[in-house]
Amino acid sequence: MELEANRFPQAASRALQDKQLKAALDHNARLADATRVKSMGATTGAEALRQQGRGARLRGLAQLPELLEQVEEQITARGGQVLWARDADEANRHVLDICERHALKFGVKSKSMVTEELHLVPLLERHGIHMLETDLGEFVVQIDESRPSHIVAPIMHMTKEKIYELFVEKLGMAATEGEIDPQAMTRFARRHLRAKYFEADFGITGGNFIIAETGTVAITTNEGNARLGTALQPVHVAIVGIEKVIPTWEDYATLAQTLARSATGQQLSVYSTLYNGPALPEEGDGPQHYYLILVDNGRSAIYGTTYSEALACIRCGACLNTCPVYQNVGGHAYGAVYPGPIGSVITPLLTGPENATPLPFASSLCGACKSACPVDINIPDMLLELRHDLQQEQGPLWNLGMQAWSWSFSHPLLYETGRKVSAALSKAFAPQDGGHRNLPGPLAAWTEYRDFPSFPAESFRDWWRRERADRSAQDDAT
Amino acid sequence: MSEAREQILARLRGARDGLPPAPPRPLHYQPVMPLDDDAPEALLARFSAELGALKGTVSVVDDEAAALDCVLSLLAEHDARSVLAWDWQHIPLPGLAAALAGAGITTLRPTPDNREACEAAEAGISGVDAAIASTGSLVVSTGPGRGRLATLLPPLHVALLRQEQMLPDMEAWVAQQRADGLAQLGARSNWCIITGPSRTADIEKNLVLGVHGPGVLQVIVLRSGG
Repeated sequence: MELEANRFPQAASRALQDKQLKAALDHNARLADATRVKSMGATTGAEALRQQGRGARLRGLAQLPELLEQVEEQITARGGQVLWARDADEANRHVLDICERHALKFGVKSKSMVTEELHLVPLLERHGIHMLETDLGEFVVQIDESRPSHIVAPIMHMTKEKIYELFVEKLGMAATEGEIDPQAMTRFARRHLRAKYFEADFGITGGNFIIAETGTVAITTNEGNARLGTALQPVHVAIVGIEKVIPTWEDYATLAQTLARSATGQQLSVYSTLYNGPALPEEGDGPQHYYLILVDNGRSAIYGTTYSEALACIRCGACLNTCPVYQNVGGHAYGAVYPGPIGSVITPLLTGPENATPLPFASSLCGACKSACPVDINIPDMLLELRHDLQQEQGPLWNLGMQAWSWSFSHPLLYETGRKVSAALSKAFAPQDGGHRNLPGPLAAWTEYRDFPSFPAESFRDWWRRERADRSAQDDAT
Repeated sequence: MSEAREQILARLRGARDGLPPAPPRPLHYQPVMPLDDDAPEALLARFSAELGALKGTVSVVDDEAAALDCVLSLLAEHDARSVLAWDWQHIPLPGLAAALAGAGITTLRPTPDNREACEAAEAGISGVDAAIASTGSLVVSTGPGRGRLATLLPPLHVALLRQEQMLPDMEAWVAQQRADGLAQLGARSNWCIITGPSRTADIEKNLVLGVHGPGVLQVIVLRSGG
């Protein structure tokens, strides 16, 4: 499936007609949102914790160059290797080099958004290196040959019936009578994947945080797939965005807990796995070789701009679950690796605004995303700012129109005349229920996705004049 | 030093003036979960309740003999004939080796060459570095004779700990490490905070246990003085 954020309006229209998607989203996204609200509410104070987590992320960004150097120093001292990648090609090249050095042929992979961003798996496959997704959701996406629709719950868009069909058709699971049983399907997947873990010669993971003071990569899973995918294989490659660094373990304690609560409503994810380096002698398991690839890929271009705050995101998915747009169109419509409100900020920044022009507009600016964010990122403001940036790049006709509008606003007589003409036209052409569905000419762009209201019978200015006249008449009378 | 490294760091250093102001590091971090009572018995009760809510189980025993009985009956219940275990010195229950041998249960230590036998083991037995009451978590770290697989590979994980190892919350565990100058934290190759049995809710938010890790987590706590 091609990534195409510029087709958001068409993709969203299609998604809105999809009854199966609607059923899945109604159940999954809303439930996830309610769970988060309840879980954050049970803490010692959600707002104070949001600010504490935000502080940790902002301090991480403020000291980013020094903290990255600290991470490198710590990992190198323990016998691991840190590699730096300016862009996706460079990051993928590092992985290929590692595969070549250790003659690696088959890897197990944990869920990682940055590897989606790098399109790493298709690239490795082209080089004859087979990669298996081990997170249950990502595994389903892989056998479906589609894409994840959510950064935490990749198959939020799928019903169990669909997953059952996939398992029967693609993996040869025995068909069963009666009610579909998620338990039986999960058991089947466990057996199928367990054999592969033993065959694999390396594991690839992402990283939720890097704790700078010890150079520790923190990875969160509920299934245990990242832990198992780095316990049996001789090589572990962790691929992490440079922005994920936090200064201290105290910061980690706050963020690990607020991440889990915001993502799934848990107090902590089941496995908070913390990687320091290659296994020590006599441990009996764990990787002999440990690599951390630090990926820039557009992040340093965001760093220090108005959009810096977007780099504080901890990828919990809370803004997706709570967003009225996401709840209705789902993740695929965004045509991007990072969907939902934070994705509508990150995608234009990482891929160039011209490749994602509709996304900053795919929001009602209701502010639910900011309220849900465990690190209080001001997503609505950044969406507005992005819209503003895009307006600067609008065509001359648009600019001329805006200038004319602004000029008429500062000339009362002209404004009044224009309003009267528009109101008269509006009245003449208004449909029965008063809303315009199809404005003519260039104005049609407005009514393509919304109705234009009819002008009221009396304008505010007329009302004001009349009201003032009435009042002064009353005053005179008393 | 690589060109990529120099360029990324230079770009960051050149752009940092535009960053939003970061608040100073708090002198006291607010813990995420409130704890009304941090007396040892209250912590134990809280730990049991939290882990129970995650479908893990906690058995509190008064002495080592009771702990041994508990381990053996659990293993019998799960028809365990072979177990993956940490070295005995890392499990706070002397006599465990003899008890397992007496019951005819084989003990395995994972090595790179016995993976198939490890996969066949019905249970894993480990100690813990610490337990966290407010979240029902176990903290485990790796080292010689204490790898990852005993806590991960078999369908049943039995963890043994002493009540003194119980801490109120994750923040208290970090404070303990801080007091130690983070020496332990940095010295181990791997840490894991395990909070309940392996689980997924990927399929329509239905909770299913035992995806890749153990579906059954049984914690045995030996009361202080026991």
